[in-house]
Amino acid sequence: MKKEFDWFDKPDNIKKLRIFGYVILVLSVLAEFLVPSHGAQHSWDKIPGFYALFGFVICMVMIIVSKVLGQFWLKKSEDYYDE
Amino acid sequence: MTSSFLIPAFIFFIGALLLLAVNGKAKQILILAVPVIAFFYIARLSPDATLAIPFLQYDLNFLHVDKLSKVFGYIFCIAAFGSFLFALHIEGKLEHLSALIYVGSALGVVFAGDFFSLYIFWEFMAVASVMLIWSRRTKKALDAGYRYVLVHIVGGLVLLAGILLHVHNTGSLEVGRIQTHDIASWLILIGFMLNAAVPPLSAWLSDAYPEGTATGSVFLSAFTTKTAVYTMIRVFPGWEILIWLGALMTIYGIIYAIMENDSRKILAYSIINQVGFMVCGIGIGTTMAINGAAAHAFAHIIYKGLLWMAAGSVLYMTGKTKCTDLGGLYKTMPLTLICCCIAAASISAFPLTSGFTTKTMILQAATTQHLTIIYFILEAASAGVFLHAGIKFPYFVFFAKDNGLRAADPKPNMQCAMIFFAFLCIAIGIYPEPLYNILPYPVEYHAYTGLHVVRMLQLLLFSGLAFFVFLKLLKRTETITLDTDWVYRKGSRLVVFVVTGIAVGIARLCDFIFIQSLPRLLAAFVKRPIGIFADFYRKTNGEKVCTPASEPELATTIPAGVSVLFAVGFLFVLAFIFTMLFR
Repeated sequence: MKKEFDWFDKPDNIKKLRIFGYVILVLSVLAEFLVPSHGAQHSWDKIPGFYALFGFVICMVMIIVSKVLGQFWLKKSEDYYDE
Repeated sequence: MTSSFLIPAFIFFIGALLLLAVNGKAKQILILAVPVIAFFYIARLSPDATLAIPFLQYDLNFLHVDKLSKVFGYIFCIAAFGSFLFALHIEGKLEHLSALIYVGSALGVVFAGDFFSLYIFWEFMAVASVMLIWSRRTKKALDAGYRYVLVHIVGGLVLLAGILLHVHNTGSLEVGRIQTHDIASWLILIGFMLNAAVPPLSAWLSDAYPEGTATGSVFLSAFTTKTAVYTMIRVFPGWEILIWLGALMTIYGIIYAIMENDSRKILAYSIINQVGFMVCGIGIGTTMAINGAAAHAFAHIIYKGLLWMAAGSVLYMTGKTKCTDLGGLYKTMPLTLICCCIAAASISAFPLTSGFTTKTMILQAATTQHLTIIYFILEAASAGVFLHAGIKFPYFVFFAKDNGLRAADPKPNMQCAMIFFAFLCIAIGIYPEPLYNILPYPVEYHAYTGLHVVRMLQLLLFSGLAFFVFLKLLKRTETITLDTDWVYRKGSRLVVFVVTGIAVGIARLCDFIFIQSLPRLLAAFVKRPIGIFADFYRKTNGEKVCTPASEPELATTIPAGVSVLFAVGFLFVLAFIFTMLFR
């Protein structure tokens, strides 16, 4: 039998992926210094890494908000409507 | 004016008729040919083509052609082609038949020049599309389908009320821009908003679409909401409330998609999120924003269809949709995974994909109009899209925990459909000019500036980081999420409780009066016509009442005059009734 492809199940590979991810993150911030900034339309466009920080923080907020909403209010067991 | 005898909708309706006559290969060729013929027919339509039919004192115009209707016409045909390719293997005819009528009606709305024909096709869409849900043949799908069609009928009636008032007020049936904020326009707007799934009128979508068949939901994802987007562009461009409602939709869709466990519900909520961008663009209403909304609808139909195809393939092969049941499928479904990732990248607006060249137009329009808060909400929503549809969906379906599922890639026709849509996602991302050229207004926008690309990458990549940092908080639970359909699913029980309470009360009262008391009284009266009055007479005089068994009927002590009085009264009543009857 052909061995199935399970590259993503190996901890070593996940580690490699993680390092690759961090490198990409750093590169995306550094790349901002390479592109011409004359197209900036907002005052915050000139702050280096603004969108990186914004993306991270806003996602954190959205995750926490939906976690709280789900935990205390909106998430119900699957047979909720069957009762 | 050139009068035309054929509207694009009829091509699909004729196809539906022919479908009844053909089988096997011919059936497959037919359902693929219909969208292609319609596509080229729409491409050939000249802007002054019309098809007017007099109706009462009005002229119904079934064919109104301009650049806007053509854009939606093209994409509806492309979506129909891809979806029919994906559903090519289906044996029965019911799904294809309802899909043909559904798509045809959507095209009917798009090319409708007057409100009445728009309304007719509008209702056709709701009725035809429900068959795509019922074809799943589960109890849940049946129930969800009923709710779906009922909600749409109510929405359609609100729309009809608005249309009638509008025609009464203005005397014009023409589908055109409405600027007066009166009750008629609000009713029409609410009718449109319901189909566009604007919260709180959105719960029908996340309730019904995930219950559709593996192939049927691909159709559903494309037409109803985007038809509503089209009608909003035509009738309500620049209505400020739409800016805020659209922004609300984008965030609402994300928050719910993060909570959901069912993979297809995640996609349903991400439709609400994406349509939010379009509604927001319509609200901004500048040429740039309208172009953005139309272009985004175009791109969205393709990548969202592709996401539903991926989810449909997983459902088709494994029979499962819940994230808690799925996982580890990357091992055996590589093609589905790759296509899914292309769609996920497109919906997240990664550079080189279709989302990047279309969604950013709406953001640009917000910037140009100095709508700073809206701009930030839309940027936040862009980050959130990547979070739920871009990573969460593929991650929990194809990676995460291996649940031992070993499903292969789906049937060849399904694979071809996915490859076709994936190709379009990338093509529009790399070379958007053909799309820009068919937009309603001339486009002066360049998506690929260094700053745009870097900012978007930062935003998305760090959203991805947030996903993995907070993965523990995102752990899947076997739950459902309450939405506004609670009002008519649980609230309806309250209504049922109250209504049955009242009904049972009335029934008991009637039972007491007409079944128990009256017949007994009548029986007693017939048996002893005078006797019961005699009892009554005695009672009022404080005498002892005797039952007939213990006392002979004739041994009564009431005066004979009373009997005579009753007899006369009875004759009088009879005389009165007869004179009334035979006058």
